[in-house]
Amino acid sequence: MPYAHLPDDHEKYDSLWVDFPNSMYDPKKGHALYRRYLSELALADRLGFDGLMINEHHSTVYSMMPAPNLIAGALIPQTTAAKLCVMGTLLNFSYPNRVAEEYAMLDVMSGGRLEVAFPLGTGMEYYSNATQINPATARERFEDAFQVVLKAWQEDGPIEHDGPFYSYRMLNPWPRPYQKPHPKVWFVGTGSPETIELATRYETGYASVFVPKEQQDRAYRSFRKAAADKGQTVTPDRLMFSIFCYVGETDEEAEREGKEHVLWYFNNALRTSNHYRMPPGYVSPAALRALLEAGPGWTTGDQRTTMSWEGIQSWRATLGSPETVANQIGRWLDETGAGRVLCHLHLGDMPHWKTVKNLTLFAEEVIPRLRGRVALAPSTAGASA
Amino acid sequence: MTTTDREHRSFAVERHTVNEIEVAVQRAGSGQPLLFLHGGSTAPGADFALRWAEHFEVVIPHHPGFGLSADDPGIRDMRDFVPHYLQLLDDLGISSADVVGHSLGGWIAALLAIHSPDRVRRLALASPAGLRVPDHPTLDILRLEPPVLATKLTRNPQLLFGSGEPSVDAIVAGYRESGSLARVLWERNYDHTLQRWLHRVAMPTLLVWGRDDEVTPVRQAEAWSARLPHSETLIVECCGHLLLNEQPDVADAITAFLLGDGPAGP
Repeated sequence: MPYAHLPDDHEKYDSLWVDFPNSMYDPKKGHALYRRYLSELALADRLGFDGLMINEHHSTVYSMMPAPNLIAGALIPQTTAAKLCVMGTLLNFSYPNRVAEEYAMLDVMSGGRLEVAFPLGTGMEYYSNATQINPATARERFEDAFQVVLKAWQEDGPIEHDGPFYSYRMLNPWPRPYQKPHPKVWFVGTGSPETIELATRYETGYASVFVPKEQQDRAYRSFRKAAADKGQTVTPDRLMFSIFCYVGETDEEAEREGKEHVLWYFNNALRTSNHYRMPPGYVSPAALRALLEAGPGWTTGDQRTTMSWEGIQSWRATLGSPETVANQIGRWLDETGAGRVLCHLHLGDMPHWKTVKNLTLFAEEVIPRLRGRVALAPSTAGASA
Repeated sequence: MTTTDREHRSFAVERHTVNEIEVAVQRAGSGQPLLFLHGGSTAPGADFALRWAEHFEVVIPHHPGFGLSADDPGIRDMRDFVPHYLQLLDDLGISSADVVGHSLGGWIAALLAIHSPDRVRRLALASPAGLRVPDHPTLDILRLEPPVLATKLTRNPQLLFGSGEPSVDAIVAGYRESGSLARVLWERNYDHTLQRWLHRVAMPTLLVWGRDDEVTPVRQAEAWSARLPHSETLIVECCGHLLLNEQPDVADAITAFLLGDGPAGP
């Protein structure tokens, strides 16, 4: 849900996150964009997508969604079938009882159409939000908060909680989730051992997004191993990967219409510094070493580099006719064993007509080809905006 | 080793376990104990402290999460360093020491002196952090990228990174220490305890400051001296925040102060 109206001289800014001046934001243009993006998400529901994915970011042109639950609330009366995948509200930047309550509200309001993720939040969010949330203790806070949410959803209140960061005398949230024991839960990670540990310890789904394919494959191998060590079976619906996709009637048309927007997305919407990406203490020194030793290309939007189309390939980007795209996604499904695909079908500065075309061709021509090939997957596609 | 062969003196590194956390302690020399508490990075080293070893038993512990010491996930707040260092002094059999602290270490030294003035004989604070001085605030160092921060820390960034591109080891070590710093000062880089309780620091105290300090501006010295009962201030010209590394002669001025009989002064 980007704010795509950048000033002509935007390239002089190293980061379009955190410190990109909010004087650049025009609320009138923002209003038009909200109306447009909501209509596109509602269209995706009518077209038969399994889920509509929304998420939270702050202080950036990348997304106008610092509060995704508001968008989910707006989508409920406009949609009927698609899961509302809030992936998700940033647990560390809200009180955990509040997150449990808001998610439960959405689940009850939608009649059980909610799926949620609990992201740690990008490093950039730790610069943009209250400094009281410390990146060096973020993971400990995060797990404490997650336990509060699980207790709030599963245990009959009022209950007490006495954790390292949060304590409750009488945790007793109304309402409780529509789905029992609770909506499907995902952890979102880039491959850090800490997140893989959480996703296997709590037996949740694991979504690896915004990392190159090789890093994602490593993350899935680690996840499978950690799950096997705990005696768990990894069903396809516990794994998700993301793709960047534009479908045309032919390969040539898709490339002509879609490529520039994918490039815009990688080189502008994701543009920030590694310093903002990794505030002090946000990752372990060992994790930083692994990233540095993996060499360049482990991150998107480094302010010092421009990504080429070839460079973007490793991020699972595909342009083409329905057949080309379906074949490519099919290969990725086979390789990963994942049953969920987060499809970025609106990217960056893509105009409305192309977004509608992309959503429509994908829904009518690509999804049917994939449903036949991945029978095990309970849902194969989601729209992301 | 004689007291004059300064060039050949070096530190021995000992390992101690303080409340289950393994810490490294550099030691050299003999005499009255001198505890040096380093700043927010061990990268510049403490070679200047060898000068003190001619007169003192120099003890340089690395803070938990810094240098050769292990991480202590229990540290959440600057005040957590106080019992840590009281325990280390106990373990080393040091009942009272001259204490020198630089930057973050100056902040810890001041907290130690507020809490246990009987353990601090004389106190030297070199561009200490921690006091809130609204008109001359401490630089928000965690906001800055390391290469930019280096230019603010010192007039000679090579002290921190050497020349050329930093190695992976150096980047990782620096990131680890910035994470340890964030544990205690991500929320704010000052502590209201200091302005409320500095009057308890009644021992002779020397404030040393670089004139060109861009991290803790030199004007902060006035705010410290206004609250310290027995202090005197030495301003070092042409000098940034890493004053002991930039101008090792500052260490000699501290020696003169610590050896002095008067209330304060080198």
